[in-house]
Amino acid sequence: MTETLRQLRPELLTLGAALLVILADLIQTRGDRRWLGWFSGLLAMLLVVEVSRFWLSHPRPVQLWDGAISQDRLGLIFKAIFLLGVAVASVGSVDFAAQRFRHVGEYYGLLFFSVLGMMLMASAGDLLVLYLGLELATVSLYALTSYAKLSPRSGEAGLKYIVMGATSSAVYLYGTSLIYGSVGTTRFASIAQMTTPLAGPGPGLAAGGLLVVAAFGFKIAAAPFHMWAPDVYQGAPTPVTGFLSTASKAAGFAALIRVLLGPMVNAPNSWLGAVILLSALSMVVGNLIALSQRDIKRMLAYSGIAQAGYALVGIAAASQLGTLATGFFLFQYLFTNLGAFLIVTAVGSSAGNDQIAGYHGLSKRNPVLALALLLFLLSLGGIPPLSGFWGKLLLFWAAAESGLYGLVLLGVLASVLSLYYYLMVARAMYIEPEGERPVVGLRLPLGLAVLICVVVVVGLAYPRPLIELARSAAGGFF
Amino acid sequence: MTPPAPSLTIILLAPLLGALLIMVTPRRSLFAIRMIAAVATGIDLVLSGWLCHVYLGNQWQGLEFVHRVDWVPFGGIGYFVAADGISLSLVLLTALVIFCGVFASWTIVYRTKEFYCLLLLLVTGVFGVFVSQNLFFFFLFYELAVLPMYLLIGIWGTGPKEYSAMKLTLYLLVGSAFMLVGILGIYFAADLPPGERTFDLSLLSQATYSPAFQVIAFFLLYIGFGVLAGIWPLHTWSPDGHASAPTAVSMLHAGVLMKLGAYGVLRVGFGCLPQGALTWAWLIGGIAVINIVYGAYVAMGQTDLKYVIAYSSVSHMGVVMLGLASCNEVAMNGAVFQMFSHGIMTGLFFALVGLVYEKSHTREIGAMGGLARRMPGIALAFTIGGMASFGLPGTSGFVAELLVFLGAIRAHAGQYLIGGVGGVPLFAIYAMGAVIAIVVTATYVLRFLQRIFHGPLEEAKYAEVPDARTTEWVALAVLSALLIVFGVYPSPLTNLIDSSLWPLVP
Repeated sequence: MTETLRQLRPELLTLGAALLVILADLIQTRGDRRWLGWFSGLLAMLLVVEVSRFWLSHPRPVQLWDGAISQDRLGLIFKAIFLLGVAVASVGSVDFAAQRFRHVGEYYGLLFFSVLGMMLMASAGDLLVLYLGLELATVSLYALTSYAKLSPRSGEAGLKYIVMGATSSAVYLYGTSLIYGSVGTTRFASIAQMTTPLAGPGPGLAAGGLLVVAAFGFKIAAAPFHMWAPDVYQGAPTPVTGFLSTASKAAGFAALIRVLLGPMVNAPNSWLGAVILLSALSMVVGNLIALSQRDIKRMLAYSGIAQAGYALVGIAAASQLGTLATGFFLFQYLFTNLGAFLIVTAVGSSAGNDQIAGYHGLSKRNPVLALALLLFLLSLGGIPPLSGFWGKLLLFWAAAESGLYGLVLLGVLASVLSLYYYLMVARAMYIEPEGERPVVGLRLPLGLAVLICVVVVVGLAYPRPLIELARSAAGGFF
Repeated sequence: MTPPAPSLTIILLAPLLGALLIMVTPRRSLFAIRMIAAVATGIDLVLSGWLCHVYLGNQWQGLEFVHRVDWVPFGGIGYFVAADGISLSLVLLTALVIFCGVFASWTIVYRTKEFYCLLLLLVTGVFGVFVSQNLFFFFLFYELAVLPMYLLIGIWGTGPKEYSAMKLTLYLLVGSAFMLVGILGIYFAADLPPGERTFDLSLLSQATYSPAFQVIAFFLLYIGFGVLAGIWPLHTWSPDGHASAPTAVSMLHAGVLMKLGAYGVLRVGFGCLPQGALTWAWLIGGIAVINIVYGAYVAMGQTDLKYVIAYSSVSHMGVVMLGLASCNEVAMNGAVFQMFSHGIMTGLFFALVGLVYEKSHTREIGAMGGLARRMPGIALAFTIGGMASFGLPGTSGFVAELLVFLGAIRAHAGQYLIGGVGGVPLFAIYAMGAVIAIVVTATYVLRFLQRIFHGPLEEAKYAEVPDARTTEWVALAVLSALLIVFGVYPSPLTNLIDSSLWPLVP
């Protein structure tokens, strides 16, 4: 038993971190609690170090509890993504949380709890463990979404998220029950044995698989399950939106990879068509609707839908290269999108709303933030040599290798289309006059978080080290 | 002393680091910003001159100064820079023009910081294209060289700048789409095993391709690169763009960027697809002659000085393309020589037009007259440029055009004849047409020299017009001196080009 628990060190330590932050908040009952943000950022970074130690000491996958949890490198790379997300989001929301929230300690505690859920999802070896992780992650996120208690928008967003999230959980459970009904187990390893390429999936397994795909389609905000995303993103406190749109999305992809490329990989005809459809729809719908947005958070929500479509291309490739590409893409997307939302936080605090018009002349009002946002947007648009370009290149490369030329063509065209709305923001920042708008201040914690994101987005212009890491992760999984 | 191993990478990084440094320099310290730009491009100038010297001194042939970095562990995508004589001569040209361009834009005060950042970014892309030996990075650098142009013209331009900037960008992006298809075609059609596909140009140029593929792919590349090289009838972005752009951008664009197009046709098209080149030679040559004749005639009819220069560029790029189409060593040497010579000449012209406009506040030829009395230095440099433009012996333009026409007349003896063996030699006719156009060029050059600088001076209007001053001399002196130096003593440049030409002759 202790040996098993030792193999769960990253998860247990994350749980400890969540409790520690809440306890730390209790020590100090009044006064400035900005240090809590720094503290939880530090804890998250220490956990990232722990995960990397784990990576080095575990070249082979370890199965716990008869395969209910599988500690492997694929899971670890996703855990690093989630924890880095907490670290950047915590440091980035030091000032925001201290100004807007009454219960600061619980805010950071909930971030850790939701990451714990995501970590379970990323190493699940059983449909029910996956469900546990899913619920822990999303329930924490429901609370975080409605955390700005005095803002009616935030409450509305939380309610919408709960209703839609509960529906998708129900869909997931129904799918699980169908799978269990047809193969008599929820363990991935056992399901895999029932789906040899020769036998093919039974109707129950196929239907169950489709429902699971639909449930995670909600989680990653892929069209046509994307309706909640713009409203929730708009209403939630901006740092939470950033976390929701990156780490939570990555968790959904981790689960999809686990299920579809694990037990279901031998039965692609039951899910491949659905994934291709989701991917194509997300790229088209996300990019087309983003064109007409006036609110930057809604625009980034639709752009996030499109980005989910690109990442799905990697899953549709159903290959080692596709998994590598999805991992690489989500890693860089975390920093790109979280960085963008942090800047939206800073500008929104100064302007009072998130209209794109509020970005007019930002290059004069705060040239550093304007340049950083420009880099993030160009990376999202896939402009070389920034990280987003290499992410998309790998994804489309993997898809072409698997023969999905139509999807590649659509993805390239959709990327070109997306440049229009990303550049509209650039135009607002660099070409439109600033008028009477105030100078945007930049405080140390948020500036540091943005700097980290910029360093990653620009640094991945040399993508080789991360590709090697992702290759090692994907190689262990296949 | 030998140059450091990653010299070419240093050439690429110097302007990039310069741009980063300028980014963190305070907006108000204009002098610091300009000095950073001058030093960054100065490093490039010194280094590229040194590399040319070493390359010539060792009588090298083929690729030297190799620097590779593995970028993506599969797919044959890697950072691979190296240079042969042709690349080196164009790198030297780029360094010369950008160095002079920095001094020519010394007077820009509106958003100086952003201007120099974008200019240095742009030039990084140009250097990158000339030294990349991996088609993937070649394409990335090509895009980097094209995109900042939109902002440079849109923000700092004159006249209908938004229209011109958009037109230029759209034309070039459509061109790069053709180019991308051609490049991907080469990548997949090369007879390499599927696991060993690569963008490595030195391997791709040794691979074999089916004749049918070569014909199609070469045509795509010719159109794609041709847009940037200003081939008729896809040249219309060039006069508008060059006339609207600020001085340094016109210099760089007409002087260097148009050569990227011709260089691409030569390096990728001729290098990988020689049969395609031979198949389409009649078309390239024909269009080149239209460029030469049409460009010269339209230039004659212009009243705006910048449009005259822009159309003369269209005409001179025709000489480059005619030289390439002739498919023999003499003409192709002349084509590359013309790239260099025209780059220097056009750079000089645009610098001069910028100066004249700044001082007299007009670009209308009709509104000027007798200015030589007020600005003798500018008038002298203008005359030297004009002489090189119509190929007066003793200027570099003469050497280039002579080589091209000599080569064109000898091209494909008995191979490309109208009406089979014993018919009319096609390229000899092309050469005749081009030579006649030289007369037209001489006519308009002499006419506008006479109208601007000679004749009666309107004393009241131009009472206080000064000659060039301090930093403004840099571009004038360097560029006009080079036109004469390479006109009188062309052999270093011809040797440099000749050393590396043979693998590219189809």
